[in-house]
Amino acid sequence: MSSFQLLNAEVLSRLKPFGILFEKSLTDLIRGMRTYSKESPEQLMVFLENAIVECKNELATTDLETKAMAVLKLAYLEMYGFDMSWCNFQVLEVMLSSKFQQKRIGYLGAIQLFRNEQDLLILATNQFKKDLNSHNHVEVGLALSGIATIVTPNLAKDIYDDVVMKLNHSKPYIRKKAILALYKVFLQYPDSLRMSLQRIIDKLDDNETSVVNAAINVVCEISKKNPKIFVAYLPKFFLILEDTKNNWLIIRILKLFQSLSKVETRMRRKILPAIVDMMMSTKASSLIYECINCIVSGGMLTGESSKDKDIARKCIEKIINFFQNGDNNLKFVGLLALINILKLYPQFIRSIPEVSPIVLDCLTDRDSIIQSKALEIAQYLINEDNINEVFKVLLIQLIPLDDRLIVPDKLKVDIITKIIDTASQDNYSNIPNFKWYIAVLQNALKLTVLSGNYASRSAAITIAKAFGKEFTSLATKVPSIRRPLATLLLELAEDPNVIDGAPLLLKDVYWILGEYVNELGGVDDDDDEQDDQDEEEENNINIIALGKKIKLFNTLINKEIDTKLDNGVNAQFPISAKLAALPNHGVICVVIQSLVKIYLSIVRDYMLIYGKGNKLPTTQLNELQYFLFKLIGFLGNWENHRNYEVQERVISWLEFLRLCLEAMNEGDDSILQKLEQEEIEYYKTLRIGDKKKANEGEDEEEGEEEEDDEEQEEDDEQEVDSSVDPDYEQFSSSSDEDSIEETIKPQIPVEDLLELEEEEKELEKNPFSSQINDIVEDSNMEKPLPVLLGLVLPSFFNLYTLKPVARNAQLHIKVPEALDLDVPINDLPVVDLALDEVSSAYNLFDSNREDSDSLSEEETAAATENSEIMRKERMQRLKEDPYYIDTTASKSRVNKSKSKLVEAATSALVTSPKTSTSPGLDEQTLDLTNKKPKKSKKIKKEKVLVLTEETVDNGGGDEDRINERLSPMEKKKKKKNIFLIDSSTLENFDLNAPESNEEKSGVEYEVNLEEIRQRLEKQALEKAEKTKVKKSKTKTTKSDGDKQKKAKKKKASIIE
Amino acid sequence: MAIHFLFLLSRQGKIRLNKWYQTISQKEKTKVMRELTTLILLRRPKMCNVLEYKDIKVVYRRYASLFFIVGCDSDDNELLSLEIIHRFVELMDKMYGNVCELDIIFGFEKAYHVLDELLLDGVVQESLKKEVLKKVAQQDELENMDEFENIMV
Repeated sequence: MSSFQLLNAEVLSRLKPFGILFEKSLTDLIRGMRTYSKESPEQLMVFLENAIVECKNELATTDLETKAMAVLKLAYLEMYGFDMSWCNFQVLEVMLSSKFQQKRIGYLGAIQLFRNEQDLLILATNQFKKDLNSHNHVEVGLALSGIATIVTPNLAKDIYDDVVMKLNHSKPYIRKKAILALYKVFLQYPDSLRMSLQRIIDKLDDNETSVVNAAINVVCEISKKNPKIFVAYLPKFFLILEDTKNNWLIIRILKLFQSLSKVETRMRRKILPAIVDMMMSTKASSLIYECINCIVSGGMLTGESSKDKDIARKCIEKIINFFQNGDNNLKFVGLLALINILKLYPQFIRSIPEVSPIVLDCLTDRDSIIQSKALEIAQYLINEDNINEVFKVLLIQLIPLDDRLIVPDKLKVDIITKIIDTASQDNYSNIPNFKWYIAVLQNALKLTVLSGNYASRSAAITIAKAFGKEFTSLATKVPSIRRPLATLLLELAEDPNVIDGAPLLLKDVYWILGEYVNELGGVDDDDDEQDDQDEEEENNINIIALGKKIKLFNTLINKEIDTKLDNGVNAQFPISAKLAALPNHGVICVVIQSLVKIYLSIVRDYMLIYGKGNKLPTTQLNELQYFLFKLIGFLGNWENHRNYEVQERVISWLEFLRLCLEAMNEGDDSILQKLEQEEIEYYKTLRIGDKKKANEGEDEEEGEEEEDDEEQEEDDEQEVDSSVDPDYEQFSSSSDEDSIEETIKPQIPVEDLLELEEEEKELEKNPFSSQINDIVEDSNMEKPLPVLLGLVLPSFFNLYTLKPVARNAQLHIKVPEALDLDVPINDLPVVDLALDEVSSAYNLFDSNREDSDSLSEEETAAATENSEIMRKERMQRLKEDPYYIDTTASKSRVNKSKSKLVEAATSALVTSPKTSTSPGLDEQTLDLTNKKPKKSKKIKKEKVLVLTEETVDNGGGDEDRINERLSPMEKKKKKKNIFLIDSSTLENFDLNAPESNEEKSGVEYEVNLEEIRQRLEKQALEKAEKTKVKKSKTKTTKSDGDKQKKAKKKKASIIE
Repeated sequence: MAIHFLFLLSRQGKIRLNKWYQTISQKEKTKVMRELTTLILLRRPKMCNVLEYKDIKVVYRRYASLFFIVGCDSDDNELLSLEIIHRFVELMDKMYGNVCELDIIFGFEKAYHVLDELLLDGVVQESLKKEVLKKVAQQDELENMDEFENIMV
């Protein structure tokens, strides 16, 4: 073979000068790429494609010289991201060349292009053996380098002996390479570790530093997984450490000590002083850093003893030097080391005066990576006195330095979680004033969730969830903050930006607004003064609160109005429409409940304002009825939702609400239709009026118009504030009761009038109000509220108060012995009819699928149609089926009370087990909650009751149990790392275990060989043929013949 | 202590050399390189040269128009990784004689050879600069012998 090739090469080289160009040289390729890349990317791509095709052709030739050049070119092209696995066989050919030049290119190509080529490398085993045993040490070195990168388990088994032999090579150059290559062999073929670990350890006594270095390296890598094996050799490592001056080696030994120290604690006593000495004496920053790492991460500082603290102090002093240098890399690693020490000894952040300025400085660094790192220890920095300052600093970091720069997502997430975590630390003990904290959260929200600018969705989701959780936790734990919080959340719920940008946040927003909807009372501040206001003013406040609630209610559910008005782009209730189509079913589950709660609260307010006893004037009752009608209509959007939970919840509620509606209107829809028509008319005139106004002059009023979406978004906040005040004044100014009633009677438009200018004229213009007035005069009767609304509905929600519960509380509740979750609660109704339908429908479907080829299109269409009809029929039947309804109805009651629990659980809070198990106590507990200040803390600015988390006492160890539960999930996550070299095979490797039987696999591999060879050959041929379509047939057959010849020879050499 | 990958990036975002000590698919490689390219080109001169990327640390340093980028374990010594980069640059400087980007583009296989003598599967195999250069020279010599033989035939 070789003589033939040589001849061929010779012929080619002689032909070249005469202008027959078979190959484009590498330089040409690179030049070409450079010129084309200046032009256009498309042209470059065309050029590259052509170049690859050329390489393919060159690889198909028999001339090794040409092939080698092609491989080199491909190795270059690989940088541009092409997948080159198709040329592996040819690379192997070049690699096996007898010429060093070609061999070198071949190995280079292999290192660059091969990825775990199990089958391919079997073919070359013998050649590798030959290279490893070459008389020329340069060739051996090349082979070792190549093998270390491309080795596979089978190859590792086969060449293991040869590599081990190289450990005693006369040249240190080969010895060190052999040691390092052997590590890769260990990884692929773990059993070999048992056989030759001792030989690696022997190499620690080698005369050459580079060999010792390599051996230490391998030991260090193995020790990361299995430190125990090396404990016995500690004295030896220590000697090497003391002998050498080579910092590379020292750092590696320190790394080794770091892993050993975790299993052998006794070594610390001897080694620690040496490391400290080294740290103090050396000038190399990398070594100082490694010393600190070894001491801290190696767990050498554990106790609170003064000795340990002294060492920690010394380390910190060294680290402080890193920061004074001005080099940002030193700053970064210094910060890392500092973090590790402070995690052990947080007290140093105060006791050493230089530390806290350093941390603060890092927090404001322009480099977001350093900022993020510094955040990790920010909580040690914070106490009640400086929390204000630190939070301010953190918030400023959320503002981009200039318009062009965006704050990285990771930093945003880090800052937000840090703010929330530090604030809620120790049950909010660091918060001086909760209103201030709400303001902080509000600002943070504006800078993150509301500003948009996310690179990734996951960051947005994390932040939104964090905020949501924090709001919920605040609302449940701090009763006094509920009112301002609810006001803030109301803004969020009415801001269309939020539902677009962070729908997940709304889950908690809706929950809180539902649960604490009654906190939406009038003016937020100065609640103390409100206590001694007279009845009348209280009434006014109630009216304002009611206005807010109705506005929120309408914002969420008035989608239908827009559809009826055909508003299109200028929707008046964009949020409602978006909400109905929201993809996050978790949010929908919550909002269903919340809407009912809001409605309940509206009912309550009506009773407070207009009610006499349990009676209401008919007008108001009609309005309530209309609200309910709208609510049912809106919830109906989800009746066929594809998510099971949403459907279940909606249907349960709908059943109940429809009963309520029936109880109210006694089957008479005329009032509803009338009211609906009126509302639509109202919004129509409103729109026309707005348009006129807008045309007349785009004054300051424009910002307050509801249709003008953008303006509204911006001014939303001010709108609410500004609209409340004049409104409030107006109500209070009209002192006699009648006039109040008159203004309030048209309750539905009130909330819109809040936004618009509230002028008497407009009220008069509004047909709705005038008509209602008529009705009022006509029928000033009073009717009692239906029991379902007045008593049953509130009992769903108000029976128990929600209290924060520690997350371990649930663990302590014993599962009742009688409880068997596998036993069905009630027997499944025997619905034989329906079952039959189902099965036949499925059969139809199945046959449909299987024979879809044979069935004509018409038939399939008919079949699907048929099944569709059947399905509908079934639905209809199920609707009428008494059993079916019975189960849902009886379940729905249970669900309603339960769903509250479920809901609370989702926000990490469960209703107190104590109260839930003793229903008789509910009234008492209601009273007790206010008298039972579990933890009232005296704070500088504000005295606030923060409810502590309730738990059931049952001894310690909760955290462990929780962690136990959590850990499987975390473990799963960790496995994702693509960069991790899989050295798990070495983990807990038992050196003394008997050798496993390898003969079997050996046989297997003999059998496979032939097959693999043929397959590879075939692949190569196919590829060659593809590229050669244009070439003459004779040439193809010739090269085919060649390959077969070669392959035969190779086969012979392998089998030998 | 092992390096997972090393690649060279021009200021225009072009890959000039890449070396992977990990068997991952071409697609993954391209993805990682693309992501790191955007991250690193956005960094400003005075910022620190260490990034945390996925579960590893990426250490980079800029020499003239080229970024040298190295991926290492998160518990590795960042300063040492910087040192490895520096060592590589010094070696290339010695070999090409005042190395520039064009040298690396046109003589990329030489750069790979140096790298292969400096690192073996991501581990520093030789801390002496002289030794590395000597070995590369020896290999070149052997290559030339081949050519010489060629001519003789």
